[in-house]
This record gives sequence, C-alpha cells and structure tokens, in this order.
Amino acid sequence: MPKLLIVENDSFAGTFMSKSLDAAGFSIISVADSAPVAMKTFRETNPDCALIDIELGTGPNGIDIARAFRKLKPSVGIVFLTSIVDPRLIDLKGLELPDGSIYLSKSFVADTSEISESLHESMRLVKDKSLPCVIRYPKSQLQLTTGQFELIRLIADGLSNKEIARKKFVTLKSTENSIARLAKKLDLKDTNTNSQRVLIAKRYFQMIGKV
Amino acid sequence: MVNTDLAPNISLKYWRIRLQYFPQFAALGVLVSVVSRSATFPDFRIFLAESVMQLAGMTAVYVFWIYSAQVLKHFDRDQLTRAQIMTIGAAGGLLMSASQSFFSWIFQIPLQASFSMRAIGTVVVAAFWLPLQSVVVGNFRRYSRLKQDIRDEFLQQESVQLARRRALEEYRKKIEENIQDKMKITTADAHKLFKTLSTKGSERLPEYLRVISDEYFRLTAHNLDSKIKTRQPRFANLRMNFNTFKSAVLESVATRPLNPTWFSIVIVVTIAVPLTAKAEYLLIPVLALFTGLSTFLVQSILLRSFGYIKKQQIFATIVATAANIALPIAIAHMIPNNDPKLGNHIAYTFVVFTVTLMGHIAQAGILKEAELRASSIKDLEEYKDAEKEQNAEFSKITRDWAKYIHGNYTTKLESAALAIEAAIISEDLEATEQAISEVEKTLRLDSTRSVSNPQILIDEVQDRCANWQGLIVLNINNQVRSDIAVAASIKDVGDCVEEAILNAVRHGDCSAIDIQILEKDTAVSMVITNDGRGFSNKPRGFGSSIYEEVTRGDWKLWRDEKNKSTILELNFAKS
Repeated sequence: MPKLLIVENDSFAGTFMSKSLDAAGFSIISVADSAPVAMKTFRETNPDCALIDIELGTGPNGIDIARAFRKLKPSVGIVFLTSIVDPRLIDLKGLELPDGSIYLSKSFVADTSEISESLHESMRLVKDKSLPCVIRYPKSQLQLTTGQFELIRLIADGLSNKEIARKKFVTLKSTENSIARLAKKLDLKDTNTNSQRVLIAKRYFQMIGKV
Repeated sequence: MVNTDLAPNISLKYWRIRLQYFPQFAALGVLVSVVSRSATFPDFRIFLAESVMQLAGMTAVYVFWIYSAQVLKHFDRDQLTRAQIMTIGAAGGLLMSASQSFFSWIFQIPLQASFSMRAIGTVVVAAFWLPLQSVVVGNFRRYSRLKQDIRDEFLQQESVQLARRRALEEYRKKIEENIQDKMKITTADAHKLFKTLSTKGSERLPEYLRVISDEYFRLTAHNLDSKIKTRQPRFANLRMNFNTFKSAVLESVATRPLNPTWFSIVIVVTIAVPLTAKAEYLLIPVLALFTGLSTFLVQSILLRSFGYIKKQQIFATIVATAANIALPIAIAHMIPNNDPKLGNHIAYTFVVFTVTLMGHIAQAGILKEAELRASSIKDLEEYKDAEKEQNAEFSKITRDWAKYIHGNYTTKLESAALAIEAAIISEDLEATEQAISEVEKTLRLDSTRSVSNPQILIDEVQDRCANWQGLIVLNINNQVRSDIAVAASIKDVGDCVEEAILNAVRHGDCSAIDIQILEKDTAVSMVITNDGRGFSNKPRGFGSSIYEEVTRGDWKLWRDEKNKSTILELNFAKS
C-alpha cells in the first residue's frame, strides 16, 4: 500500500481527500497545511507519493515543496491538484514543474479515482526522469499563448498598463495592443455599460477557480 | 541647422498622398512642359498639338502609376527601394512617349524629335519625378505627424497632472468624511481602533500618509506648474508667420546650390526636358546648365561673403530668376531657322517665375519645418530632464515631510491609546470621553493625519523566513536593536527578503541561506548569502526592480567563487 502525504492548507478539502484516497487504497500519512510541517513530515515518514495543492498562501508554493521533496527522495511520485485551470496562470518566476509529476486541474477531475490513478501513474513516470510534467486541464482553456496568460494575470493583479510595460520591458503602446488582442481573444468588448479590464480580471479569477 | 534624418523614405503611403494631388501635379506638369517649349515653337498648330499630346501622355503615365500602386498594394509591398520606384517611374515615361507617338499618328502631326530621342528624355524625367514627389510630400506628412505626436504627449502630461489633482482633492474629502465617521465610534471600538493604530498599523494608515504627501504636493503645485510652463517646448510657436516664412524662403534660396540632391535633380531635368525636342536644340541644355551653374555659384559666394544679409539675398534671387528666364529665350533666338513668338516668351517668363517661386516655397517649407522639428525635439528633451530633476527633488521633500508627520503622529496616538486603555480599566467614563476627545483633536489637526507602519524590522524578517524553514536551512544573525527604524516601509523590506529567498531557491537551487542584519552609519544593511549556483548574467526582473526601489539603488549582488556562494547586500536608509 503506497504511503501518501497530502499538502493542503484548506482543512476541509484535506480531510475529504484523505478519506477518499484512504478508501482508494493509499496509506495516508498526514495532511500538512504548510511548507515547514510538510518538510518535517516528509523527512520523518519517507512517503512514496505526495498530493500537493499549489496555492498555500504566502511563502513557498506547492511547486517549491515538490522540488524540495524530490531532492530528499528522487523517486517520490507527485500530483498537483489545484483549482488553477492552467499552470501558465501561476506566477512561476522561472520555476519549472518537476519531471514526471502530474498537474491536475480540479475542473478536470470528475472523481477520486482519477486522482488515485494519477498518483500511481506519477510513481511510474518518475522512474523515467526525462519525461516532463503531464498537464491535464480542460482543453477549452488552451486558446491563450503563454504571454497572454502572463498578461491576464498581471491585469488581475491590478497593474496599470504602464506598470505592465515596465515589468515586461516593452513599450506602453505594445502593452495596449497586447491587451486589445487578449480582449478580442476572450471575446470581451469595451462598451459604455462595462469595463473591459474588469471583465478580463473576472475571467482570470474564473480560471483560477476563485469565482 | 537642418536635421539630416529627413532623408526620403519612399513608400506606397506617399503614392497614395501623391495621387490625391494628381490634378494639380498634372496641370502643373502640362503647363511647365508645354509653355516652356512655346518659347522655341514658331508654329501655333504644332504648339497646340504638343499640348494635347502632353496632356494625353501625362494622363497615361499617371494611370499607369496608379495601377502599379494598386498592384503592389495587392501584393502587400508597402516599402520600395529608390531603384524600384525609379524603374516604375521610368516605365511610365516610356508609356508616355508611346502615347505621344500614338496621338501624333492620330492627329497626323509630325513630332519634333524621333521616338527614341523623346523616349530617352521622358524616361529620365519620369524616373526622377516619383522620388522627388515622394520626398516633398512624405517629408511634410512625416513632420506634421511628429508635431502632432509631440503636442499629444505634452497635452497628455498636462491632463494627467490635472486629473491627478482633481482625484486628490476628491480623495482628501473622502478621507475627511471617513475621519468624521470615526468620531462616532463607541468607547470599546475606540480602544480597539487605537490599539490597532499604535501597535500593528491599519490598512487605512498608508492612505493617510498619501493624503499628507499629496496635500503638500497641492501646496507646491502652483509653483511647479509655473516652472513647467516656462519650460514648455517652443512648438507652440511653430505656426509660421509672414516674417519667418519670408526668411525661410530666402534662406532656402541661399543654401539651394549646396544641396547635392536638389542640384542633381535640377541638372537632370535641365538636360532631359529639351532632349525631347529637336536634336539641334541640345545646345539649349548645355548652355542653360552652364549659365545655371555659374549663377548658382556666384549667388552662393555672394551670399556667403555678405553674411546672408537680406537685401543681398533678395538681389541675388532676382538676378538668378532673371538669368534663368532671359538666357534660354536669348538662346532660342540664336538657334538657326528658329522664329520664336513674343507671346510665347511672355508665357514662358510667367511659368518660369511661378515655378521658381513655388519651388522656393516648397523647399523653404521643408527646410524650415526640419529645423523647427530639430529645435522642438531638443526643447522637449530639456523639458523632460528638468521635470525629472524637479520630480526627484519633490519626492525627497515629500519623504522628509512624511517622516516628520510619522514621528509626531505616532507619539500622539500611542499616548492617546494608553489614556483610553487606562480609563477603561479604571471604568472612568469621564476620563474615557476626555481621552477620545483628545484623539479627535489630534485627528483633526491638518498636519497629523498619518502614521507609518510601526512594525519591528526583525519580526518582519523572521516572519518572512518562517514559511521557508524546512525547504532550506535559514539562519538569521541580527545585530541591530529591535526599535531601529528605516525609511522604507517594513512590509517593503519584508518583500525584498522574501524575493531574495525565492530567487535563491528557485533560480540558484540553494539549500542554505544566511541572513546577516547589521547597522551602519546611515543604513541598516542586510547581507543575504546562499550556497546556490549563482547567476550567469546580471538578473533583470521583479527582484532587481524591487531592490532598486526599496533601497533607492543601494544594493549589490555578487558571486564569491572561492566560497561558492552568492551574496546580496541590501542597504535600507535609516529614518
């Protein structure tokens, strides 16, 4: 029976997954709600696989923790379970998803069996280190480019066009054009009765599962 | 001084502009071509036939050019090289000659020159015609666009300033109202509020701080405005009045012989136009070229000798124009078997005078606009530098002011909070109300509406590091006292520390970080050392920009190869 460590800062979700995966044949070690607790538990219990939420509040995120797990035990299977539909929506700042891990969008998962299968698959994949992270999310969200994902995130962060331009090292005009293209792609029109910027931000929060 | 970057950029865009002017250019072309020949045509019937043929030829060539532009547009060819443009122009010239020959056959009127002679002349003229027009129209268009851009930019800056001031005014009113509302709180709420204010800070406090800064800005705004106004670029005066226009015309006449492009075109046209006539008329271009060159050279030398004095300029212009009119007429009389008419001489004189004047006006316009453009850009750059300097100065004053407010206000609030707390403990209602009344007074003082975040620096650093414990080994070595204050907000310092850890873990792949906090004369220094792989290029991104902003540029990052470590030093100015 594979030993599983769950890293989740939402206690309800943690408990729910713990019970479901226990029924699916995993030995649940613990539900860790922060990076220090997760690291301590990992060192003490040496799990075979980990189910990790990406957004854990301030400090390191789930990907940082997964990388640290891999340093301690290269063969550990890792599955990210998150409400963020596409990893490009996260401000990764150069961070890469670990090889052989599986990224599951919650909106993609229909029942616990998919999580269970992904955990088993990850443990198999990790043996072949050359395999990149497997990303599973609803295909309808895949229409944006990587740059557009970054742009939508920056808009939702409340940055002005000028700040976005400064951050991306491009001109203001170029940023304005990029936003216009993004709005067109998302089919959001700027009219007298709505604000395009707010609609873009709203779409972002829908995509990361916060609305 | 004329800005040389106005070199012709030949584009189909200018073709479209040129096509708008087709009727004027066609009329002028026909007039110049036909009437200038009239000085040498003895027979009115041939003169008339030539006119019809010229018009037909001009129409043919323009139709050809328009069609070429449409074809190129269809194939998305927006930019053409000068050689390509000239080839299209020359092809048009060939068509024009063919058209003329066709009409001469229709009218049964013998042409004065063979098809080949006529074709050579027309092709050469047509080849230069398109680039010339593109230069003239294109330069005007580009300059007017540039002028509009500069004006828009300036107006935008002005409107932003105005909008900001209005927003500030409204914002200040809202804060005032909020403060008034706060006065209606209960004793328990007041205690809670001021306890929060004096210990942990509140979300509202940075807003108060901004209000204070902005109020100071408002007080000094009129002073800043007056400075800005005195430094406005001169483009506001770009509209040419009669005097500047006149001097520009004269100046262009004076400098014309020194402009190689213009001069080459004059030579080619002078040679090519008469080539379309009889072979013996070749004498005209040779002599006209010689006299034209001599006139230009003498004119130039004279003007330079006299230091461009206006009277001499006018005199030289009159002489040059007169020579250009008189010499070809005189030459026409010297040609054997030629009998030019007086009426034709008058028409020719009128046309040469008009064309010379128009040429001078167009050239003067280009030169003057180019010059004004260069001076406007220079002015705008100076203006921007001055504004930047003033902003830096203003930013410093605002910071100093905020620090002053911080000291006063924090003390008052803390003492008020203690008084309320003591009154509540002793259950003395009167004392409680009195203490609240003191707080009301404090809040209503204009100069004391703000405090900064009074958190302790070392606590913030430890908080930020706590989340990363376990992932890496984090050691903090603090050598500063707990109540030390820095000019930057504690949250910003925390953000810098977090960013440094994040970069070291994610990009440096480190396993241990040491943070050493030291006190220097004017700053608190934070030396963050990690055992990661370092960096290949100087990092550019959010991290470096936040370090730059919070430390006001006092930070450095280097690699210690001996100890295989990467070191980031951040110096936060003391307050």
